[in-house]
Amino acid sequence: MSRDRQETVRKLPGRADRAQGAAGAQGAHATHDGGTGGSLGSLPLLRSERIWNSADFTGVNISLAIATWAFLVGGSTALLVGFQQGIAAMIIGNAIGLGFMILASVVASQRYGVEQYTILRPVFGLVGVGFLVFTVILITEMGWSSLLAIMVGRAVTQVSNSTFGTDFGPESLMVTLFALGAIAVSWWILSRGPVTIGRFNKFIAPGLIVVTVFLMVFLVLNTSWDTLLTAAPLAPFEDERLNFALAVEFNVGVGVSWYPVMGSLARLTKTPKAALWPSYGGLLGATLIAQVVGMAAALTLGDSDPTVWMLPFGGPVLGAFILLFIAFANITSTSSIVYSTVLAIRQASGSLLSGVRWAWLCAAFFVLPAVLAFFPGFMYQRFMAFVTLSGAFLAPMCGAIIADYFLLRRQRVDLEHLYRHRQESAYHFHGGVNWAGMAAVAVGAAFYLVIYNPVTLTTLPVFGYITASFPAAIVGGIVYFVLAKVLYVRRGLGGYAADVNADAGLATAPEQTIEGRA
Amino acid sequence: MVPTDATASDLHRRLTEISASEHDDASRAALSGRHLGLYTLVTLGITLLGFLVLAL
Repeated sequence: MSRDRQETVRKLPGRADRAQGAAGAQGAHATHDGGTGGSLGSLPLLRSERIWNSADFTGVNISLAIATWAFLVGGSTALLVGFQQGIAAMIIGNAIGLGFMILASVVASQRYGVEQYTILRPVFGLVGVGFLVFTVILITEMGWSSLLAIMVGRAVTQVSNSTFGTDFGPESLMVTLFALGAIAVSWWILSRGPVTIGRFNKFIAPGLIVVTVFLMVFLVLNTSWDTLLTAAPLAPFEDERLNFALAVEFNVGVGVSWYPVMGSLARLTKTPKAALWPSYGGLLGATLIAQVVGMAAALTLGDSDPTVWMLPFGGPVLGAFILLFIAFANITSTSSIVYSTVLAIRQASGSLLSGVRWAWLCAAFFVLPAVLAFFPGFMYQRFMAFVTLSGAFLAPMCGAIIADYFLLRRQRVDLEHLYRHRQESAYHFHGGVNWAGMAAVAVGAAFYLVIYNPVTLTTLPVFGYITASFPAAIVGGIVYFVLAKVLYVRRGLGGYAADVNADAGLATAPEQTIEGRA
Repeated sequence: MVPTDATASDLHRRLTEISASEHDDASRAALSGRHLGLYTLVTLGITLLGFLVLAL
């Protein structure tokens, strides 16, 4: 690809605050405890603790999906394709990405009422899960936290430029300073516990619905259907097929990147149906509406950055108010992301971090995002790499999880063995690592990066026809299935036979040593 | 910080209660083949809808 093309793709943003409300939703059910993060941790929930029916969980998912990230994705899709192709790419990408992500994250956590990184132990082993959490999940979430903070910096400097006549550029030191301020506020909210996050998110999600409606009204009043349909993409490549494939892949990656939060939410639902359909319908419907509005706004104003739209749309007063609201929404989103991630880190670390205070753990998480905030231009231009690179690893992870849970274990996991120590657990494998799972992620990610490398932007011709995430998920699933059969199932390791034979896979009364942490 | 013993005890209590009284509960049912098939069909259908939008 040419340098121009590379720059165009680097401008593509991606997911931002998909954890909006996630911590709040968990917090609604949690006991406030600033020392532990105040959640139920990894303990399996009882029937009485499952509080959400289909309607409740649909609302949770809609409030997750209506967020600033959807405007960013919609605006970025407009860089590559026009309105009609963009809608098609969003529908196809989100339908596929959400389709396999939900099967991997929601179903098992719902059935067993178990936090999603604990239910991963049969697929990757205790140590393997820890490795993935400390690499794929941690690095991705740190990147997104810094991006959200930089977006706050850009929004606030735009308000300053409009209101006080300053001239702060999008990569100026003031953007960094406001981003650091956003990180500090995020840490303060987070250190107060999930209940505080939930309180803020209660009005952030409805507020963002109002912003979405405002954008829709403005678009209806100020542009026509014909104008939208004939609007040219903002910065496309010469190859139309490649543009469409990139737009689809981008949206698949966005759908898959819901993975880190969905399972832990779904365990609060009352039935499998109440978890599956609201996840898919709620996320898909709300995402598509917000993304289409974002794409239409970008095509109308010729800029993919949502922080640029609000002043022309709303004028100096209303526009500035909306920008400040978006800035605050991003701060609470950052808190939500860090909440779920730090909780996962604590649980994946075994006893290593169990004694560290919650506030200190959160502060440690924010060190790298704070450093990255000093490079606002680099981070903002490279965040499509975050979306697609995280998709390169999350997609084969999902493939392996689906192969394990649906094909090899037939939806049966021994609940007690999830919590047993070392060799006492059927899911200890070799040294705490299920090597079939780790190999599946490695091979699937390598396959992805060969078809489409988001860093070097090299693609194989086949990428234009099949994209990369979904094939990588299939490769991950096949590799897992074959290796797990050879390494474990045939040797009677990994609890596969026991899982299949167990009645509904539920625990018998535990008698042996179980893990003493949550 | 939740004491380790208390957490282990709570976990033990939960596993026992799940085993004793939630064995056949609807909340712990497996996703049925019917719903799994329907979910796959809906996903495929929406994907095809996207291609239809592209073709129009």
